[in-house]
Amino acid sequence: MSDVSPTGLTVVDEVEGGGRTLIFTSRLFMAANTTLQLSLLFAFLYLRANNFGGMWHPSGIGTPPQVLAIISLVFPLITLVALWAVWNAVGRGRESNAVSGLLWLALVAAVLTGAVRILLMYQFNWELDSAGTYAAISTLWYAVLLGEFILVGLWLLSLVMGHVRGTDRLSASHARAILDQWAYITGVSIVVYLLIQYIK
Amino acid sequence: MSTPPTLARRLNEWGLLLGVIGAVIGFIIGFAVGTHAIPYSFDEDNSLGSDPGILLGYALSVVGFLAGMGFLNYPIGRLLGAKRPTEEDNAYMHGEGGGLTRYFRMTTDHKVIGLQYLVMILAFLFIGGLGAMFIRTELLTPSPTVANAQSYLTLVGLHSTLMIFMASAAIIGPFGNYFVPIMIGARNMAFPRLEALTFWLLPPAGLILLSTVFLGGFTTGWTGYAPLADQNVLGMDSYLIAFALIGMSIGLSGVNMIATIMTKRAPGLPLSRMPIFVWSVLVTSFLGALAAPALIAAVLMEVFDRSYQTTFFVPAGGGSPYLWENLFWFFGHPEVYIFVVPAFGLVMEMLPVFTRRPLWGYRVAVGGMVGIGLLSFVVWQHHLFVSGLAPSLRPFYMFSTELISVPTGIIYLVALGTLWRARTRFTVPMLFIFGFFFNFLIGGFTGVFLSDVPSDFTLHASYFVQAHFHYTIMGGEVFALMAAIVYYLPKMTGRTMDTKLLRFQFWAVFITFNGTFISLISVGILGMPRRVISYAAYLQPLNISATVFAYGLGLSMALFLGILLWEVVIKQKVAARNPWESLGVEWQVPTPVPLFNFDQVPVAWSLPYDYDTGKPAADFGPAVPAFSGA
Repeated sequence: MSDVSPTGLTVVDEVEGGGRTLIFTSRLFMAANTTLQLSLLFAFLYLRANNFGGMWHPSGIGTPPQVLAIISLVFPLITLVALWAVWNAVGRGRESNAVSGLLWLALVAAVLTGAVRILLMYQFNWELDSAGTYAAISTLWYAVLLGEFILVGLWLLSLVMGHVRGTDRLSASHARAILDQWAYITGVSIVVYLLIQYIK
Repeated sequence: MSTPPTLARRLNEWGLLLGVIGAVIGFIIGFAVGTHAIPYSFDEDNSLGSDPGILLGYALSVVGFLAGMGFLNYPIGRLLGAKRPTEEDNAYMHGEGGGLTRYFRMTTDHKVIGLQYLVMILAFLFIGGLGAMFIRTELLTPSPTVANAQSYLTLVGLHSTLMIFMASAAIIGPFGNYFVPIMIGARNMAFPRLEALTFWLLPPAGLILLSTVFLGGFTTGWTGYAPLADQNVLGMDSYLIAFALIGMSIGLSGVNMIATIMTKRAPGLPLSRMPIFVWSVLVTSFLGALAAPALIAAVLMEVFDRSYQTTFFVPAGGGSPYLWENLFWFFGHPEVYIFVVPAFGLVMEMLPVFTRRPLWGYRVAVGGMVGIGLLSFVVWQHHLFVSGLAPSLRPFYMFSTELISVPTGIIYLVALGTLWRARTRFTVPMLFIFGFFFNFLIGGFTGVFLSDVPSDFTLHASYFVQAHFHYTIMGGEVFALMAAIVYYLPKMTGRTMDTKLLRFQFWAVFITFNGTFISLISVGILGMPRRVISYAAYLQPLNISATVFAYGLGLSMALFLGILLWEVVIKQKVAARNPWESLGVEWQVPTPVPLFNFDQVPVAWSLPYDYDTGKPAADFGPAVPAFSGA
């Protein structure tokens, strides 16, 4: 047995990672997600650069509908701003109805994000078996982002329900973690939009 | 339990059965929707169904299985704003009072999950081993006898893919999950439900993969190369879904392990004093978390190709098989180190125990493993040397691949330094550790020839590659796995294995392993291609030699399993509390390990290798002596 604890601490009952664990893990998921996004980016650039058989972007293949694509970026930005305000309010210890209101706003915008993106994908109107690889990678990438918006949206829903029902009040670390995730996906979706819209 | 069990708990007791029912229902729904809702016009023989039907059927069967197991209860409760589980609920989910049934349901106890992993991995390794015996039997003669080319390729693909799946979790699954929280002074993993999920994704993955035999099999081997993968029959879908599940399991497990190690360590345990095994798990977890998403991206593209008839990997439609090769190997080469780095960690964890000396060069060893992890991301294109890789890129990838032997060599130096002038105890685990270093050395030497462009051109796709790979993975990781089973079983089960018989078993497996794969190195140098059912007649003597040794290898592995079952399950020979007189914290806690590991988390930690003074790694107070008998 050692005589003296090098830390000067005494035994403890539990090591609570708590909020730190949550935020750290949220960022780990973003790191893993970055590999996924970079893999899709690699595929996009690889297929475009090689353009085998001229099948990258055959004539007659358009881009995703511009207006709908932009609208699909506006709603996540609204969610992002609302989540930022929630994080600020919770971080300052404000337990007001305003937090619930902002959470509902974020949730509604998140639902609209998913709905518009589903609608957008239906508007692509590409026959995937003959539309070339631009259409294929664009569809896949939009599908992956849609899936991620839905997953984080479900997480947001669980936080909102816990908060408004009073079963699990929103903590600053939860607010920060979901803000990070939503900001990340929103940022990626903007980059993907620009890539698909302008690098054909 | 002070209160009567709730409906959810009663259902949880039947989790495995409900999971199977959920899987069947999920498959039926997915198959029907996929078959009828997705337009599909491939020309392949699809009398058994369509690719979208099979793919969606498998995907929903996994969802149904997890739902039946109870994995959706918590998230659905959260979505509805239900109260968080009580402490009583958490204790139940942790396995309190569960007895044997907790091993057949979803639990959040990392120790139960570790044992679940161990049993599942041994079972699938046994099945994969049977496949190897069939392959060697077929290769007794130069011409096909029992199998035809198609079924032989499916057999090779099943064996290799199953073994790769299991190898990716063989060390971290049982021993990482069981011991990392204890070694760092945590009561549990950071995300126990996620940990359970990473395990319960694997049995469906293994079964889905095996189901390929009912769907015509797949002929691509474990690498799933396009465009062959696009052209394959429905059996390919099993491979894709299984690999996606494995990728998810590896990635999620990596995130969970990193979060646990970085945020749940006991006070007084800095990174610089972590056991070397925990370091190896940390490095491996980063590899898994960052590499697996590339595989998932590739699998998604292949799923799109097979179901929506896109052309990511079909040149005629603008795609390229090289895209698959790049994405696959960006995952695939770090994957090799996902197998091996935890094995390095385990053997370095055990070496000081049996040499009774501190681990020589602890920081250097950590640096070596981190170096391997970093370099493993920049070597993948050496797998493409003969696939049309731009010649200007070859020198870089040759150099980076050869560079990785430097941190690997450091691990050997650390082992040699620890062994130097030590009074080594030649226990059974120590024999396997020696076997590990011998075999991996040959694996490393043969790897140099494959990293070198000119010799790789000669040896690529030959049995030389196959033998090299088996020397590193079977000779390396599996030997480390056997050492770890013998070493840690007394802690995990309170039972021990017969060492006399195990000594015989070690020499049998060591000799037959080397006999098998030296024969295969030889046929590889002589030009025998792998994955081909027939070969030139002059190679038959060496193939007979390989097969005879392989039978011996199979028997000696079966003997290991037999000893394990006899001693631990049937005879239940009780182990001493700390039979190896280790200073590691995992040996200072009682056996069986308490439900939440510690009554109180110790705060005074040192490296667990201070055999000069005999000071244990953690200060539990005066009650627990460093060594004691049963």
